[in-house]
Amino acid sequence: MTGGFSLLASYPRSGNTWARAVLTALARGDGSLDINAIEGQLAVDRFFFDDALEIETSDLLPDEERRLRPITYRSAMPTGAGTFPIKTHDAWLTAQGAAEPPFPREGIEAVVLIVRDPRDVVLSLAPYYGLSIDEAITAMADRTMSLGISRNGLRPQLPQLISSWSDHTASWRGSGLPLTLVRYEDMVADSVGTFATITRALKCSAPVDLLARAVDAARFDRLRADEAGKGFRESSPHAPNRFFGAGTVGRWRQALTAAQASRILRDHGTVMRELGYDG
Amino acid sequence: MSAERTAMESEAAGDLYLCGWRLRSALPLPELAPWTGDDRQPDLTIRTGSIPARLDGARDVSPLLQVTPEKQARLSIDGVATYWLRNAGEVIIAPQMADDSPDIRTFLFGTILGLLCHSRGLFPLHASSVRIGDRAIAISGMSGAGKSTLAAALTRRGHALISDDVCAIDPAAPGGPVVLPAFPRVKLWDDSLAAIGIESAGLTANRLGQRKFYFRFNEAGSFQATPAPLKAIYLLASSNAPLAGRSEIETLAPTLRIIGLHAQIYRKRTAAIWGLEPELFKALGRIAGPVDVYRLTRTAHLDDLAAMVGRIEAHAA
Repeated sequence: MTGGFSLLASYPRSGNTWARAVLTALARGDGSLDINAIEGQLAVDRFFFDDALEIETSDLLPDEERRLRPITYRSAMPTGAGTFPIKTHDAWLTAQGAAEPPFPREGIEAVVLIVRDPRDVVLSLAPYYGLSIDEAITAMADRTMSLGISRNGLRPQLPQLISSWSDHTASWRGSGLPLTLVRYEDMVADSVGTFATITRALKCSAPVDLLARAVDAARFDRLRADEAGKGFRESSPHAPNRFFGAGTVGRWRQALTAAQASRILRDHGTVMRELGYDG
Repeated sequence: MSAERTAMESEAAGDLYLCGWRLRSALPLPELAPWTGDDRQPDLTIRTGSIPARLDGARDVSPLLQVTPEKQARLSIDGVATYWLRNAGEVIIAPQMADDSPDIRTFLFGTILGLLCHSRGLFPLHASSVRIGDRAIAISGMSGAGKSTLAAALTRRGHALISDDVCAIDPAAPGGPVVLPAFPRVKLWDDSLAAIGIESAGLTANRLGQRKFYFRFNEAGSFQATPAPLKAIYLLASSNAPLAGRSEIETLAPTLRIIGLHAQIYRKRTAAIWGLEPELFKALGRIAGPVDVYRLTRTAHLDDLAAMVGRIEAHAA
């Protein structure tokens, strides 16, 4: 291990890229933001592993990829680490074929875990992965759920076990790592205050006026307009250039049926109540 | 005496061609074309044997790879094989599977081939290449960008395959950079095979249980067996979604050519440890001068494959 790194962890579609956008604008300092140049290494970026291992990871089997992920981080620092957190959707769990969770514990200096009401998550998750709402609810309850796995072709990312929404959240909270939990809803309601918490956790505190400028540069309406005008390379093949949605809180009250909302509450009620998502 | 000579002659009769080298191998390498050149001694010998756990003076480039300042390397793939590049003319392999397992060749024709290129003064670009007309084009990019798929589709259209994934360039050839042919085989995933119209049943798997396969072109004329002058390099940039202001094939300015090609030097971290960076930069200059370098932006969708192939054909003609 050549030094420590920090993680920006979340279940998918919970505000991770928005947070990276704000941190990128903050790092620039001049209020400019190019959505196709948002910083932050992706934890499962195949290019990083190919370069770090000096082999083609596309020649590895999924069990081998999962075993090598933490081992690789132990020997090679991610690009720009130390200055910017690594983005991950992993759960803090030991995946099949691996001997430990996906990052070397001893190298982690800070974790910021972003959580979001799963009833809003599902509304964003479904179109992103080309699922119906009901399919997305099922996926969020699946403890074996992984990204980056395809039997028939190559994914640009290595496999990552995200598990169910509840287990994802609980795994990080029970990890014993230096963890700061922030709620997406608070990032929306008090952006500057919540990003002050995030930057403090990541040891990159900034004055309030700079934070406010960065939050403004990464406003959802700007991100959406940018994406519509220029395209966004991180958007989903299932929903090209529709990555940034409304970004609002509580849309599930109109968009989910009562049966769907209660199914999510039944699947994840324990963790939801702990986080205040029981209203 | 005569029995010994017969054995040597029969060994020589089984010699193979790889990147201009005469290769003699104790392991079966059915992907390679036979040696049809002069009666020189083998340039490269592949043997099986035991390999020390630690090479003298080695440093770890990665958890899988040790290298020494004398340009030796030891690659270890658990459950498959250990590989020892002992010098520029000798590779020792300690298989952990049956000698004829394709898994062993997957890493031999990957990292080990790239390191052999570095140790023998060739420039290995992360690219697949085909001959269009009488000159070579290289399609370069990271894993998953579509190199092999495009090269295979172009070969199916009647252009000759030169190499897949590792493109060995001799930057100092008289008359300009040439591509040295590797072998008439590409590696393709199920989805690419389907897009090209090749049935995967009966194909050799790249790894046991993996839906990525070896596909060997056996038709006459589908493999370019002699060095071909390099005309153009297409650097693949993939995007999940269409990006505005990005035409599909763009000419790159000189500095972007160098940066783009440098990023695609195959196994460049080991080459740097071997002290080869000055040579590589010299080679980059020699290549980026006469060879056209373009950026080719494409989505990951395979349904635009035929259109993309047509565009490259028209552009490279």
